[in-house]
Amino acid sequence: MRGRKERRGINWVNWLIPLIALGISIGMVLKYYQKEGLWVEVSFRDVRGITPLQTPVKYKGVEVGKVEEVEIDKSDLNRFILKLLIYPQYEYLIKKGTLFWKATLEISPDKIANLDTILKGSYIAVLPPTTNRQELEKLPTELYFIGLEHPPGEKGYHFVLISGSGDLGKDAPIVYKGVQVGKLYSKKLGKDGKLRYQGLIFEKYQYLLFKNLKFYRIDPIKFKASLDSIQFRVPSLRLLLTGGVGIYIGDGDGVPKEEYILYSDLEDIQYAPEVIKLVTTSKLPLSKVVYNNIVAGKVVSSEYDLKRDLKILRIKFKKEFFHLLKKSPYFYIQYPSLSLQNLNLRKLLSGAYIQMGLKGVEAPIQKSYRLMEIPPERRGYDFQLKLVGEPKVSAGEGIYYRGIKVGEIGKVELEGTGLKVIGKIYNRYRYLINDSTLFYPISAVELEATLSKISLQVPPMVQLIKGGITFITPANRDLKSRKFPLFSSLSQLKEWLKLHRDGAVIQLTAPSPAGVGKGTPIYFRGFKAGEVLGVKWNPELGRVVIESFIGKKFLSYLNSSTLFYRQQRIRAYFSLSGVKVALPPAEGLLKGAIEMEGNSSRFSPLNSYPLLSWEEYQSRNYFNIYIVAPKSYGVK
Amino acid sequence: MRDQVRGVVICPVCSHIQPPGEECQFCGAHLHPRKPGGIGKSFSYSLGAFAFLIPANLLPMMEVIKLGKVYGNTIIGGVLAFFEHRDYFIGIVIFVASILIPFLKLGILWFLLAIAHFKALRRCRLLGIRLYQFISFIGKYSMLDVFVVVLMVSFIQFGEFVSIKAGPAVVPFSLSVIFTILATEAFDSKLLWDRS
Repeated sequence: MRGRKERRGINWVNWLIPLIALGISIGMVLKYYQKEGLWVEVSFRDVRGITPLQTPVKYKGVEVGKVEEVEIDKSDLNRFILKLLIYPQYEYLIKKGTLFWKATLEISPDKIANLDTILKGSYIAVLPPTTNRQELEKLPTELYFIGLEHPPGEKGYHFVLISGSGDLGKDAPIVYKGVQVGKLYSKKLGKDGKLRYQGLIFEKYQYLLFKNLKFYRIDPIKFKASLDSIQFRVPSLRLLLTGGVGIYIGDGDGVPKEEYILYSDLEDIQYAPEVIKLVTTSKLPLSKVVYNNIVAGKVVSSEYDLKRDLKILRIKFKKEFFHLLKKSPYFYIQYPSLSLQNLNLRKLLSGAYIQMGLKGVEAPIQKSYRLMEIPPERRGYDFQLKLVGEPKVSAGEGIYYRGIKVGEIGKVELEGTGLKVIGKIYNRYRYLINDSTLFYPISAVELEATLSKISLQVPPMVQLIKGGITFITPANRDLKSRKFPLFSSLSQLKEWLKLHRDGAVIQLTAPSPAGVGKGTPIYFRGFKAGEVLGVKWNPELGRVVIESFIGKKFLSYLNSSTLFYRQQRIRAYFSLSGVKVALPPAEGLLKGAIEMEGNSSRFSPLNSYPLLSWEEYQSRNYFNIYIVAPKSYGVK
Repeated sequence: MRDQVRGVVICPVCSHIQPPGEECQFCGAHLHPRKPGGIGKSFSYSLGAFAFLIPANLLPMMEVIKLGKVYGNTIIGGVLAFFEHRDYFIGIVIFVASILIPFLKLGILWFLLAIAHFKALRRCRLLGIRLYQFISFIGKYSMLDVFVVVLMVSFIQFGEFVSIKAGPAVVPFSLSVIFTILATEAFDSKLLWDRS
């Protein structure tokens, strides 16, 4: 029938319609569910307010994608991975260096921002590294990002710092010459086990990137120590704990890179790779090598050679100092001392250090050098001090004679139950001591009395504080001994002298001390008979009392006939070992002397003797007038 | 007695009975004893309608944007949402209008087509004709859900606080309804009694 015929005729059309319909339907579904676009994974710590399939990804307010899924990061349960679908027409925004952050309402004392999120809901903001389309095209596409927890506050250059060790806090500042020029804003552990920080150099400092620059880590502790010299953009206590990143700029130019290595220390960059060994017997902890008050090298490691009882220090020198090693360097240990001249707390607190000096002779750099315990120019006569009583003495303390440092205490060590004290008198002052020398500590009181006579190179205050050791050399002897007594005080010394009958302590009186002070020698007919121990003012007498020591040999001349008078000129003196033409390098030390004169008799000293002036003496008209001439001879 | 037995044709427009020809003698309309296309056309439209029902149910029908958040719901999702909110009445209404009826119509239409095609189902034709009347009647109400969406979209536009957007499912749903109507219209109920 006709109906059937008709049906067959248009059969193919019949199937076309459903097929097209089916095609359209499937197409619609596919298009809806598998929208094309770029899948990007961004890791965040905080994903509150982000809803899968709904939260949009926006670039400057324009929706360029959507958050499709939110997952917990399996490798770090504190983080979430957002799977974003970026619409195909915006795929070019997603390049290396693109930033993602969560934009939500921010109300804080600093600012109020993103108010539109109250109405529109949170969104993920995206910012490509540059707004220049051509540059953007050249950058490689990146699919995995670390999201920022806060929107980037500054514009600038973003980069990655790779660090093998250490752990800087997030938000750690990047500092150059005391100014904060950038900051870190995120941290991620890469698949190679290295930490990757994302950092930013503020826009106005971006020019630094065109220099040969290296980043290094500043430990939180070190950072703290230098805080007084860094100006921060936003001061924050947090920074004390987080440490920071420093910039080191070398010579030449550089190009901004995407990734930089974060050196673990400034010194890593600054130091030449070669290691020099220093060998020493000292057990002191030493950490740096100083040249001309600048740290030139550091101790990288140290080992102890048990067999030879030596410590070997491995030193690395800064690149700019390394060439100095060609000039025959010598090294010695410098102890920090408290002196009001250079009151440098930092030096004081940092302990002993290695001082480097140069001989100046060109010589090849050696692999190892000796580390001396004392500077060469301060070599001297070493001796040991036997302690009498319990004097307080410390290593590094100075040995003074009439205000001038003539030696020092080297070491104070515990030996058994007692103390072993090593001292030395510098070579140029060796003549001041001999086997009869007795040491005692300077006390402030002693010093006061001699202040008028002492030529001080440092202000008097220093002496009072310093303390130190001083000595008297009562008799003419040779210098052979290496052991000298150290008394607890001058009075103890005097007591000892009396006991040992090595001599006697007598008192001279004078209206003023003029020209006489501690250490002023007392001569008897050309021989040193004794020494002034101290000068004091006696208010009752209204005179200066000069305590003097007269050696044993001359005690017989101490009787009622004895006269003491002042001498003003330098003379030649006889000593048992020969004629000594006494013109010591430091004339000041022997300025002034006291002459003693008298008849030999029984030792019967008066309570006190007046110290006569030269004129007074002459007027007494005694025999044996000494003619003094500038030329050095003296005849008995 | 049926028209074909009598050898007459009923004009589809003015229903005048006349001998077969090209044109109706009374109104001038094109004269054909049965609707053109027959089972095939109706069947193909119905398949198309069914095809469109797939996206209509998988894609969201309506997107509610509350404070920036987009809440999209498919038809079924919407029904379930209403049930969850204990709005059983609305849920049932939507279920009936947007899910039950579209599928039911197609199902019935296929049943009718089957009756027309297979001799074995001949005895059901009385049931079939009743069903045909039924689906013809409710055909217009198929668009109920679409109208709901349209009304919601036009009324609820309160800026950022809440606004409603028609979802992508609206188009295939509407197409499905259209095709269902086309299928129903293409089906000539007289075919139920043909082939006797």
